[in-house]
Amino acid sequence: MKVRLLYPDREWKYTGAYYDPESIVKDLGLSVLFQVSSRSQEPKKGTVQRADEADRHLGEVLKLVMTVPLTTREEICYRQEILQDCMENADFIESLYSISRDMTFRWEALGKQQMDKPGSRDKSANLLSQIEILHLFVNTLSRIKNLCRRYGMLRSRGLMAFCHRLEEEFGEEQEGKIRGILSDLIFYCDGQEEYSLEGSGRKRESISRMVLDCSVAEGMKLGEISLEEVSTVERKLRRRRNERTLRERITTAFAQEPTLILKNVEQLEDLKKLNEQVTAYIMDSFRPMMEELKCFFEELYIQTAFYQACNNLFTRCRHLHIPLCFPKAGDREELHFQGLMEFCMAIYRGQRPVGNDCDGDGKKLLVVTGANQGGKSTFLRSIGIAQIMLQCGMPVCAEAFTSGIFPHLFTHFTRREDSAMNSGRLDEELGRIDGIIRHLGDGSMVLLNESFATTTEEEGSVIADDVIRAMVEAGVKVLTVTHLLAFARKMYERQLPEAAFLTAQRKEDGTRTFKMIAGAPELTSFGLDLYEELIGT
Amino acid sequence: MTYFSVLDLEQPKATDVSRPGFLWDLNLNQIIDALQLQSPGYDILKMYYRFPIEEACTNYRREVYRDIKQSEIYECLSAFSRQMRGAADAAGSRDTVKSNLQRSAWHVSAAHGYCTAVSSLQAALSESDCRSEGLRKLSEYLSSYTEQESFQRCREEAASIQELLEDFHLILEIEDNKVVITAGKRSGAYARRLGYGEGTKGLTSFSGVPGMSPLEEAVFEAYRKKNPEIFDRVESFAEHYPFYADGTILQLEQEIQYYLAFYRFEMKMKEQGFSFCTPEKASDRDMEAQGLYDLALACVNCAKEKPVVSNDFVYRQGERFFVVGGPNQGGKTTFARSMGQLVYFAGMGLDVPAERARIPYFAALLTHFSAEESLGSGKGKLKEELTRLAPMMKEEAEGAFVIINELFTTAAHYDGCVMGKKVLTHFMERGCMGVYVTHLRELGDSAEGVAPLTAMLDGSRERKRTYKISREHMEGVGYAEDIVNKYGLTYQELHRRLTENREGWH
Repeated sequence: MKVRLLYPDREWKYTGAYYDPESIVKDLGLSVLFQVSSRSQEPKKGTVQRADEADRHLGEVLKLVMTVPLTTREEICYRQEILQDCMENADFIESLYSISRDMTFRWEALGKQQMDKPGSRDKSANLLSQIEILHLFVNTLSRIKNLCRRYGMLRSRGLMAFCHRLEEEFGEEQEGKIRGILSDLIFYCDGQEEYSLEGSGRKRESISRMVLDCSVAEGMKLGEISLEEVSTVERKLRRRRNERTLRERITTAFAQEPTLILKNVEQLEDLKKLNEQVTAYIMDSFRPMMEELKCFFEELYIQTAFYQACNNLFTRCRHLHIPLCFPKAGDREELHFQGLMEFCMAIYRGQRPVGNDCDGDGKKLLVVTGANQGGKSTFLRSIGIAQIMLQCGMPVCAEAFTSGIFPHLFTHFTRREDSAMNSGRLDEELGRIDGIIRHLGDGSMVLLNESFATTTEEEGSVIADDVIRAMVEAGVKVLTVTHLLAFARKMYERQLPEAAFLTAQRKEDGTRTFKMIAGAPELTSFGLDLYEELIGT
Repeated sequence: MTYFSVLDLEQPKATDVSRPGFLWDLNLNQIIDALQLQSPGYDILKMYYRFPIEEACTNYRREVYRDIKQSEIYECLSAFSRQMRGAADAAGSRDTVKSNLQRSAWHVSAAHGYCTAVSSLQAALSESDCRSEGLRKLSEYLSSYTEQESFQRCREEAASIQELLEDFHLILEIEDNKVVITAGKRSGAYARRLGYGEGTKGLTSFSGVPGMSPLEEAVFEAYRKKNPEIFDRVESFAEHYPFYADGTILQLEQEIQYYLAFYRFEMKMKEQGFSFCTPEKASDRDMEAQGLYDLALACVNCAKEKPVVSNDFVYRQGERFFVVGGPNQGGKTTFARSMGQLVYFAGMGLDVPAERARIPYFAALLTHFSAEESLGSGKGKLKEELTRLAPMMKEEAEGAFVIINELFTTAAHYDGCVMGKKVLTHFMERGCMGVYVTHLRELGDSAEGVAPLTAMLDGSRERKRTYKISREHMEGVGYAEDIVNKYGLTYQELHRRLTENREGWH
């Protein structure tokens, strides 16, 4: 059975992630999202949520899913639809996730690990836990099925198909069959310590009944045993075993067929082994199903966690009045947005930041220059975050956002303050650039923030010019914030139609608006302003 | 009865079984271990350790191997081994159990397996197209053996009991601790409910021990009391036919593994794209090969899906020794090993790892490889080398193939050249042929009959190793690696890199 809530045609697998996801997370400051998503955002009235109540699984899953980009418009729509559904039916996803989480904990308590390496515990304990796990599987599937039946209002293809599959693949008949066989095996669970007590006459609730067909060709051993009948019979009268012997003796003597009453300890020990073998054989028949369900539940726990994590984030946004919209996955030439905000900062600070507009359609290179402290890096990050969110099906923090799909997204953020000039650092920086170059592919976007700052401006400009020009010519979309004005001017003077130049807005009086506007790069980065502001003329 | 074997013309002397030192030098031990895996349950090492063998014997084996490469002959011998293993396993089970009834039942299975194996092989061989002396004699031997009356009676009785037993089933109806036993067959209704189809096996043997468990003992005893016939018959067979196997047949069963293992291995390697060929016979001092490769390296690389470089060589008129030089890690030693493997497998009458090969008979194979980086001082190492070399040079090495790998590396340059030349001359005087791997360029033209070869680098600036050995005199080639731009980030270089990359993007 398939979950398929993350992709229309496959299950989750951590593969095809962005190159160097850790850098992306760090550069874009995504960690705050993972933290916030780990907590339920609707605490019960009058209680304060403690730190240890955070469900770290949610944040971990969100991180993994966000760092693996979707690569087609269809996949993005598929996830967006489900998310939309989850926003409208938050109870549903919450219940589904909590069933799945609950089940996972109980499963672990029953020995989830042992499923992968049978034989690591003693055989009968293992067998018992197999039976209990199967019970758990069946009961959990029932619960999920009932949940789905209560939510007829789900509209997304993903969730509807999920509910439908449950009915199809785990129908009443299938469920009844499994429950029937499980009840035949009650004798095994009941009789676990029975014979070890040397037939001391302990009471039992149930006894086994089996009919076996055994071949003897292999050296007079009972081999190739095929099962004709297995069942558990309720014992109505509780009696001591030694009270029965006389009647049994009579039965044996007068029986037409050779009949045997097992009495001595070895024979009973043997019978117990046979019971165990038969039980193991029966449980073996469930192995493919259990394997499948194992994957199903593991997947379910991950996939529902993603939606639950998103729900937690959206709830937080609602509380903070941060607007969200589902972005549009357009062509690679497209990039335009209105009121785009830096999502992570908004969540972190708990307030609405400045929104930016931009029309970058048809541009391959976006160069942002301008005043320090003018919001350039924030602007670049806001695009990066929105791009990542778009590519994992999430809504973005804007009034509207359209961009292409870039499965190869790279960030290279240098903070000016740590750009000490020494050759070791340049070596390291260029090594990272080289790594990016090696991993470029069809659909690449590179975000450079203050790159090539580990050398002089003159040298840095030459390297930047070489690297960026080569990338743009190869069809890579490059968004760069730079202080390398020689480079920016040179680019500007080339008057490339595919290049756009933005600069941090500065009013006549020198105040900053934190908005980016189109404009030619200036020769000064207004550091003087800052100097003036902090030190004075 | 006269001695008969599919490996030898005459009974080999006990002293012949040795473990020649070259096995390790040439990595043949790795290949032989791989061969052993092809015939599990048999000990084939002994047969592969015996080298050299007489020239007539080489030819005898080569003919047998040629026969075995016919698929119908291979199949029938392979089936024979399989059945014989089955019979041996049954006999093994017999020896581990105590109950007389069980022992007898296993004895019947073992005898039945043996008789069937022998009869089927006899039938198949007599209809097959064996050309070799070895297999023709085997076929004749089997025919006269199977015609004996004692064999035939044993076979018939074993077969008829086995048939009865196979159809015999016990039905156990168990409720709590009461067991009712009947004979017959049921349909396995519950197993079907579990979704097990017709073909699936039921539970295999009960209680996991070979002997009868207390429960089984009680079941058989209770049933036998009322229905004794079949059990009595099983026990009486064991009394009448305590010994059924023929010594020569058991020995032949072992011997054919020599061929079967190699054939299976050869097939497997061929599937991976490696070539094998039957070496052509050549007259004295006439030797060449095309597409020769190191089979041990092939086995290792096969798993890693790495290719193996093959080489061609020919000893031209008057040439006796190759002196191979070139860069370290350039494929010299591998080349020398592959030559040794060629000589070994050709001498054993088997196929060789090459596309084509012509090779004369060599009376011996001598190798000298430097021991793993010895811990002692340079002087100690030279002494150690010479100590190992001395017996090789004293030996009656007439007509041997000699492989020497990096001798005298620690000696002074001049000394090394002089000693190397002496060694070469010594072996050539005794009509030997061989390969001498060295870093001493001067040895390449030190004497008549010596041909210099070199491990090649490619033409690129990085001077990559090609692992090809070519007939070129060793030159003083520079191997300096030149990294002009560590990260290749100039515009021109980037432009080239990205243009190349882009072809892969779409």
